[in-house]
Amino acid sequence: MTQSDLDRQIEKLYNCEIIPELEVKLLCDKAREIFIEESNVQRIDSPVTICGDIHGQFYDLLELFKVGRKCPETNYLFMGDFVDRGFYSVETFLLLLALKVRYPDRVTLIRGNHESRQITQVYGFYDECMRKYGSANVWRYCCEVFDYLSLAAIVDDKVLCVHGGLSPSINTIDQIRTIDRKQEVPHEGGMCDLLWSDPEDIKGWGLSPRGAGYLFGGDIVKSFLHANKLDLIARAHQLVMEGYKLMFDEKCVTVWSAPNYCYRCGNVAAILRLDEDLKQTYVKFDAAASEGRGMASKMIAPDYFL
Amino acid sequence: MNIKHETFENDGLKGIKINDWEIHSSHKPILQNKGIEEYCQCLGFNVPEMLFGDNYLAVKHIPSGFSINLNALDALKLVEKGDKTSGMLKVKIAENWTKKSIEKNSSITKIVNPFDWTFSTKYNGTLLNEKQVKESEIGIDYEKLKIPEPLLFFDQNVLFEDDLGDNGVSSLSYKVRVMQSGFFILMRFFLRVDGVSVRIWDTRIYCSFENNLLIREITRKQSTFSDIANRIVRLDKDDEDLSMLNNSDFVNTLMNSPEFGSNEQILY
Repeated sequence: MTQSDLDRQIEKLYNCEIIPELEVKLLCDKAREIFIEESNVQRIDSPVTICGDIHGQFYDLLELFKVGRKCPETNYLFMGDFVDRGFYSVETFLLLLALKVRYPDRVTLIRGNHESRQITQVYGFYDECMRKYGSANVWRYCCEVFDYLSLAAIVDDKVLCVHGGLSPSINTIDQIRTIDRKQEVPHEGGMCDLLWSDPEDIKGWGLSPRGAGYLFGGDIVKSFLHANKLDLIARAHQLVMEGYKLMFDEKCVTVWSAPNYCYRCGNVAAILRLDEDLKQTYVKFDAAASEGRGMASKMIAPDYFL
Repeated sequence: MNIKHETFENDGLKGIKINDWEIHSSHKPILQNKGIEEYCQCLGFNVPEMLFGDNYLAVKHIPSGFSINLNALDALKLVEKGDKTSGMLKVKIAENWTKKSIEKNSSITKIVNPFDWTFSTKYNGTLLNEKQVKESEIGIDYEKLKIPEPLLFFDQNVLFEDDLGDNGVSSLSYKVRVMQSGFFILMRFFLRVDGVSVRIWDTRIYCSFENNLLIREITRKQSTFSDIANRIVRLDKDDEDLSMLNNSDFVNTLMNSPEFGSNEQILY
């Protein structure tokens, strides 16, 4: 695959057009070669723009590139959950993947809990691949890539970025580095926690009332930061109406980058810009006008329900 | 006979005036952080991820001042919390997860703020100024509702929704339609805990303009997840499409017959 092939694919994908199955396979193979070399905890230099969940909202991703400037002009970190829920998971993930392959040093993708076989079968990505390609092959290629995505990133050795949060099994960054990540997201253990856990206004660790999953309090964040000489944890995973939410004396921030989530929440989205001194700027953006069009016509159709 | 009516719509509020009735349906974004905090304080648990606290359906009978209101806050007040919730549903992996968690991190035992995290609610509407609610021999006249009369007004709306941390879905929504002959409302609580259980708890309200009879029907269905899934896919394959299980109308056709049902007449 040459650079001009890639540029052509990127242009197509920017127009929200899918690329042929064979090209997807080559792109996924190439991406996997890159990801396999990456550490579980990718090191990134500032300045960088950090993004939260996208969830297949392709036109909103274009909106994000509008306010954050296009890649490679801006150095981007996406904290997972590229797929599911929105109408354009295929185009969204393939565009990010093509950008990664084209500009490997300017794009970092880490894994979210939706980058998993099980979850994508329920929440839309599998269904979308079947509809757009007529077979599950593209879904399979993508899932193979998911297994190679990094679990976290660290900006200038100071800001830890991860999709979900902390784990009681992980006290140091080195412990993340030793995980064998190249697998489907496990149902428990450190790797699972990094992608699934949530901050909560409690002391210490807590258990979710659902029967699985950890919640971590502000003291846990502070001692983790202190032990690892870090300043901040940036994570995604939870919808926040204002696009971002700072917690625990601004030691932990949730960044959410899917505006008008699921085409009905009416929330704004945000990205976090860290400059060369790691000064934080939150840039908010609204949904693109074209994103929800399919939904609007779907919603109003009256029916003779019983 | 043509009944005079008037529909209106502005700024997220739509509705209809017909006969002695006024129906309003409000569509607003999910609550902001401040509103969420107020709800959490009032309810004593973490509210659903998508909480449409400003959405509602209000059906008012002008002469008597009687009204039916459907809203998220009143619905969530009926969600169980505290000790009562210990034997309730857990996610599919809970047993194994808990076992491993005790092995690895035995000091972590505190369940944060226990409540029915599925947001299951037996809410069937908030009534105001009603005279009496009594059991009814007469049910909803579905034959009449099957007649494709013109719909003078139709709306559907969500009151709350939560993906249960990607373990399924819990949602409360309603549909309403108004015809020359009367109005009909369906409010549905839909719960799917993946790999575990499915619930559809429906409240239907029908008012015939012919005799002004107002009937409320409550049905609660529950099935195991595997019963439902086995009716559409082979679960032994590893790449099945389960996304149709997000559609409660579709799932409803696969459910077992109701484990609870009642008809009431509301006098106003």
